[in-house]
Formats: sequence, structure tokens, C-alpha cells
Amino acid sequence: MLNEASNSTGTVHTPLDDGSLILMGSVLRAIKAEEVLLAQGYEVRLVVPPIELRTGCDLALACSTHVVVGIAHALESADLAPKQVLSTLMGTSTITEVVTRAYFDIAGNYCSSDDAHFLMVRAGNMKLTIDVKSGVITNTSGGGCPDVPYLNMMMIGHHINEISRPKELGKTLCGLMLDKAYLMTHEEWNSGGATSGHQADEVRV
Amino acid sequence: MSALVLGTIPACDVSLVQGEVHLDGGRLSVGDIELRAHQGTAALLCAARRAIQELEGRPLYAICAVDTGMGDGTRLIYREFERWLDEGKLETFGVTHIAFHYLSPVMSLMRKACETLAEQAPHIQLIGDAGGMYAARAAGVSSQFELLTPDIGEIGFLAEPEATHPAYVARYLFGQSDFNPVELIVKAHELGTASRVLVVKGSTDYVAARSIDGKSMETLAHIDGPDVPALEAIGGTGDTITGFALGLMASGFSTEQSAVYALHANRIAGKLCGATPATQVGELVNYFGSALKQARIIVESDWTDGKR
Repeated sequence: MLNEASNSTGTVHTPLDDGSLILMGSVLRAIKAEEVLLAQGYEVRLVVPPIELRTGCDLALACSTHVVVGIAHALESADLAPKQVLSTLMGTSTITEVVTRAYFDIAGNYCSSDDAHFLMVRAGNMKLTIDVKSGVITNTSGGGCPDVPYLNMMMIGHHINEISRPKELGKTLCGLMLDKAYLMTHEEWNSGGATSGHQADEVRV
Repeated sequence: MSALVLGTIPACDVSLVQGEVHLDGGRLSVGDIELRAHQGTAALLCAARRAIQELEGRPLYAICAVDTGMGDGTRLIYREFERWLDEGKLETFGVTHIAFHYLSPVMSLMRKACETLAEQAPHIQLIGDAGGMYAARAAGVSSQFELLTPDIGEIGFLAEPEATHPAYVARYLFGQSDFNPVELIVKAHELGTASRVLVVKGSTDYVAARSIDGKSMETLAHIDGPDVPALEAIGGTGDTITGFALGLMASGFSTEQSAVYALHANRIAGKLCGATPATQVGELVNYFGSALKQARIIVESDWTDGKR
């Protein structure tokens, strides 16, 4: 699909092979979005969408898929929310939705939630751990995109209720997965579930 | 014989650091720039350097750049790597192993790097972890790698035909009742995404290798002790396994031996440290030397007994 994209000057491009297409709904919004993203250092380019996605006078943005999350956030912050994001990767499957949790005692051994000192929530390849007595994030682990160590640095030592969401701090799919772990952890902490009544199990969010 | 690591870091006073890696006590530096012993590339460098020191091996080199997810540092690293190739630095430094670590999974950059290496330096063995592994898998070049080190949340990504990032794994998910790492290793091999040797990191670690005729993938070892459950929660403890393995490979051990040795050393370091889910990976670094010594006794005993 993306192979049919061409740039705004009519020259046919071979698009980024791991590319995503961001549809903005109008040419003006696409041009503004390009300005915003280039100013923030993102590598994007204006392209004509593939014919089956055209609605008339169209212009879209092409980018690497691994930065789609950060780009969407940057555009929303600039009041330029994308109309649609299409990815060569997203077209084949959906984001992993299985989230599991495990509890540790103070010595670091697995235990039931009744004896828990730490809660670790796994979302796909990412994990978030909090001290259930204090609500402070003690670790993040897993993942492989460059914002993973950055998120680790920004989140550890902060209370789960006093930290920006990973999808706002991060820019990649790993950041998005950590956000899923964050949401479950946040819900558990604020419902009191992190300290009572649950066994380690699988949930879907 | 020496190793080179390509990987991003989350923060530094300068955007690009490169050169020889040093570890003095717990202080890590690349060139003359000190880096925090943090989750990610820095944790890998600490483990690799400590393993090399333990075995009195050759220097370790790195090209690192600051990248918080935008991909800018990743591009800088690949550009600098190209310069190293053009200037013949790999040959000058005797590089025999290259690890692709925390990098934005940009397939085109990975594909180009692998093509160039295959042409100019086919003897160099490639190691992939984190974004380097994601990019290799997505770009269709992961079977060219000597070693990949997925954890249990990532092995399904190698085994699933349509997935090009672990976030898109739909079928083979850790946490589901039918999740079986050994079967997924075989599936990855059948799919052509497995490296020659695979390490799957989890509560039980697995080491598997391609058969000599290349037709099958055999699980050579599984390691489940000492049991330190907290390691899964500690960011960077997968990076240290890959780092140990890299350092050992660059010191002359076979890839299979390095993998088993690394897995034992990592678990022992966690045990010696008394790791809990609040432990930070930098705290483990001081235990690496003792852990490598203890692990060596275990693996040499196994090898004497005929195990690999």
C-alpha cells in the first residue's frame, strides 16, 4: 500500500520500508503538521497518499513506524490530531493486549498479593514495578527502543500518581506498551487492589 | 580479537561518544566520557568489559549517541559506523564481534549495515539484543546473526510470522497457558528468524543452537538456578546477560559456552547482591567479578562432564 505513495512534487518515492502514513484530513493541516514535526527533529516528509486512500486534494505525512507514538503525541499537543495513522506493521496485527501481574515479597521472592511488597505488571515486552506500600515506581524493564532507558531514568523513584504517562514521556511502541503496564498499575494502586485480594494472573485491558 | 557495541544512551553531556570502553570499579567510560551505569547500552558495556577484564581479553569499543526515542541518536551511530568502515577502523582494532543494542528499529539502516558487513567483513560475528534485535528481525536479516538474546516477552516476536515489533505479537504471548519457549525457538528457526545461537531469558533460561546441517534447532541447556525472581523486574538485567556473552565471545569462548556462562554469571550476581525489585542494575556491577569467577567453576565442571 505505502509503495504507491509519492511526494508532493510528483516524484515517485520508495517509501520507508518500515513506514507509517499519517492522514491529516486536509492539505493545510498536513503542511502545518510537517512544520511542527520537523521543528521537533522528527524525520517526516509530505507524500500523496495511495490512491485508495485519497479523498480529493490530499497530502499526508510519511514517517518511520517506530516514532509514530511520539509523532501522534506531538501533533495532539499542537492541536493537530491526526485523522488516521496507517502502518505497514499495524496493518498486519493489533497491539498486544495481554497484561499480567506478579507480586514479590520484600526479599524479592514471588508471593501472593496478601504478602506483597512489590507489584510488577507486564504488558507485552515491557514491565513496570512499584512498591505497593508507598506507590513509588522502583523499576521498569524489558523493551528495546531508545526511549526505554530514558523512561526508566524519568520514572524510577516517582509516585505512580505523580508521573506523566509513559506514552507522553516516550515516543515509541515500547513506550506505548509501558503505558499499558502503567495504566494497570495505576488502577491497581488507586483501587487498593495492589495490596489486597488478587492473585498473580492474566488480565486484558 | 575485540568487540564493538553500537547503542544509544538516554543522557550525556555530548551527543556522540566513541572509543575504547573502560570500567574502573563501578565507573564506566567510553573514550574519555563517563557514562552512568544505567539500564540499556551502559549495562551491557559494564558486563562485557568486566567479562573481558576477568579473562584478560582485548579492548572493547563502543559507538554511543543520545537518543530518547526520536531516532536521531540511532542515525548518528549508523553514520559514525559507516565512517569506521570507510576508514578501516574495524580492521585496525581487530574487531571480531559487533553487538547491535538499544537502537531505533529502523529496518533500512540495519539492512544496509548487515549488507556492508557481509561484503567487507564477513568474518565478524553479529550479536543482537533490544532494538538491534527488533530491527534485524523486522529487516529479515536476523538469521545472519550469531547470537540473539530475546526474553520471554520477545521470543514470540521471533516466532510469529507477521510481527515486526514485540508490540504486535498476537499469538505467542507470555502469560498464556500454552506459552512454551522451547517450541517457540523451533518455530523461529522454521520461520528463518532465529540466529545460529539463541538465548531466551526468563525464570528458566534456554540456550539453543542450529544443527550443523542447519536443518534443526536444538535446545542445549536450560538454567534455572540460582533462582532470583527479582531479576525480571530490574531494568538492565537482560542487557547484562548479552554483555557477559559478548565479552566472553570476544575472549575466545564459543558462542554456546559464552551463553551458558553468561546466564550463570548474571543469576549469581543477582544472588550475591541480594537483588529485590527495588535494586538498580548499577548496584549489580560490583558483584560481576565474583559472579564470573563462581560461574566459571560451574560451567567448566559441566564441560568436563561433557555438557556444552
